[in-house]
Amino acid sequence: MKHLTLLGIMTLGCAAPSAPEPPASEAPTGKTPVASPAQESGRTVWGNEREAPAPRPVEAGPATPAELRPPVNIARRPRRRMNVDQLSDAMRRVSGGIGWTNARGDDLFESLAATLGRPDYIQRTVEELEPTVLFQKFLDDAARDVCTRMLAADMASLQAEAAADPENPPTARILLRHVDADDTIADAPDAVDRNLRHLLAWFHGRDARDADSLAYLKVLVESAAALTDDPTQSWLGVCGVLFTHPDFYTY
Amino acid sequence: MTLNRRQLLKRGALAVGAGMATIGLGSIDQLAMAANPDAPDRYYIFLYFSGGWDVLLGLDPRDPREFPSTLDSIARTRIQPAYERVDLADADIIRIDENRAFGPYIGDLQQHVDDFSVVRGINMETLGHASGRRRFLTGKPASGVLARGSNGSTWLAGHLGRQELIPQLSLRTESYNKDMPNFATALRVNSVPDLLRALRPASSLLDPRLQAQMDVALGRASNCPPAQASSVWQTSQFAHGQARDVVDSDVGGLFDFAANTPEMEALRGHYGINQVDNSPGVGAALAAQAITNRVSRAVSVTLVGGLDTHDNNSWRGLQGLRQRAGFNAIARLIQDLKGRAYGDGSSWFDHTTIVAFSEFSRTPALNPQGGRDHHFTNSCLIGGGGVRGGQVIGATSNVQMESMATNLQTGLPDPGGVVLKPEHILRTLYDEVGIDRTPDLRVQGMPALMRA
Repeated sequence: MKHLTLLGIMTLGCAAPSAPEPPASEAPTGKTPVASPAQESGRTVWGNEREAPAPRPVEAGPATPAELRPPVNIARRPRRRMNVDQLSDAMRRVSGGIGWTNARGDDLFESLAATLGRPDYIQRTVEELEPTVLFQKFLDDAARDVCTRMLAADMASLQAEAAADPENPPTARILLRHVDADDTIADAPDAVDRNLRHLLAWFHGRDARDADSLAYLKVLVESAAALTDDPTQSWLGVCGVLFTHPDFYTY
Repeated sequence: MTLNRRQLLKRGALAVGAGMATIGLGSIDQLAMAANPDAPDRYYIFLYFSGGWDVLLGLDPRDPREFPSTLDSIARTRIQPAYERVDLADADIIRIDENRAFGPYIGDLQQHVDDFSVVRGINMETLGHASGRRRFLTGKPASGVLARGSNGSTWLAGHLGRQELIPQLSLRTESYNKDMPNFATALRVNSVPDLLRALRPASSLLDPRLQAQMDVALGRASNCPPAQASSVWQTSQFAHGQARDVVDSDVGGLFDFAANTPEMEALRGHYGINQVDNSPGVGAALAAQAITNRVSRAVSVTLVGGLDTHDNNSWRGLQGLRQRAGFNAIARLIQDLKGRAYGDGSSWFDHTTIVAFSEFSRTPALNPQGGRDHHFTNSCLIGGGGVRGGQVIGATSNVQMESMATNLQTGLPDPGGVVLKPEHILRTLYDEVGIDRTPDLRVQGMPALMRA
């Protein structure tokens, strides 16, 4: 009953004028602060001009166990898709500077920006951020293009390492960071595992400590290498999946 | 793609339900609405004239002899057709019969006056471009400038278009989906080349076996608990599959208007396409191809732009010419749809409803700069499937062209009627295909507009 009274006090200022009055036994005693004006002697009197309520003693009830720490139930906001500029920039950073371009070197994210939802502030004032069919199509196209060139760069780096030519030093590999071109799960499971952990951290910022996080990528590496007879194709596939995975383009 | 819609709906009811449940995007109501085998087999083309059209030059003219550009007349009527000022020799009102007349820039559309009806006196209740456009697209007043509901084309595509490859296609036209399942969301492109890029495989081809494994991997990842709990993730996965279907369907050739094929040559000739640009002919051709090849259920195209003509040069030199280019493209579109057999003895025009609109009209009197500003009272053109053509619905007054109350049953001015608004148009289209009151437009449809 005390709670009801307290609730009534807290919501008093919001109550509709026609709300029923509480029974006399439950009505708060003394004057209470109100948020709406009241008419007194023809004058509008606001709550803060009134007398403050008298403090009421609170009695402690019987001891009951309570958890002092809040429950571990972190409220998560909905994922949000990157906009076109963020996506283009993220791809370039992850790929070591390789962007989605055509043969002339035009940035295709820039060319397709209007279709991908960038506002022009004439017809469109709010950026389209839904993961639409178009977005998925062009993300897929971009991933194929960038991954193909990333793999080519890594293969060239591997060749440069093998040649040990000081005139042509190898660059830092990304897709093949911890594996050689012909490594498979069967003959180099640790290297493949390490490479997948590296790629998951590199693309998604995830520290894959548990095996489950890598399971779907391991299946892909194994099946792609077996189907194509080319272990490097599996890394092309991993790259494409990591770029088109929502963990890459949403936050 | 050529499956009969009713057959497909009947066969695929369970699959549809499973799909909806899987993607978690549709309520039971929406499912029931989508699977309505009794709805007419209707397709839709929405053609947007961007910038605010001058209806005196096209859909709602006045006789310059009754409304001369004299100070006395302008002061008395606040209406000034000013046909003598436009860059068109002998510009005059074009009278079809006692009830129908058009402005001097109606163009080739005057050859099709029995194929469409004009709705006049539509009160837009706004003078802002964005809010007016969104009002017509959604049938709801914008909240500020933000759209407050789904496009009419989204409702219609969601209701009828589940089996189409791209249920709703939009070329340079805004589209909103706040109420319907994902499949009804428009595939919205800014140009025909962008559409071609979307419909065709990437230039970097992957081994199909590798591609299949990648799809499996992504599908596996989307089954994990965090993915299942994320609507964005599930939407992404759905869109990813739809994008793959679009590419696999190999329909890009239908929109390759520059291709050196007999079909495209004929299309270019019919629509007067010299290059694949943003011209009205290209937009109309895209709509015709998407509809008649059953790629889409609803197509929205910004047919004409640059109608915001506040000064003398732009109003006199561009407003009319751009409107006429748009009307000519609509005339070509009507001819094209009439010439394409639907398959049951009727033509595609009998099954396709065409709506041409703008966000508002322009002031009936010229401003001091010799142009026209924004005016509430608008008109629109509607024809094709289900529409009783050859009519004029509603009217504007002879003083300042204000909206006159209209009887929804007869379409005639009636003091006891209602002032028409954009939502009356959409509600009428919804009524025809049995969309219930869920869109919440809060108006009645116009029986006068549709065939019984």
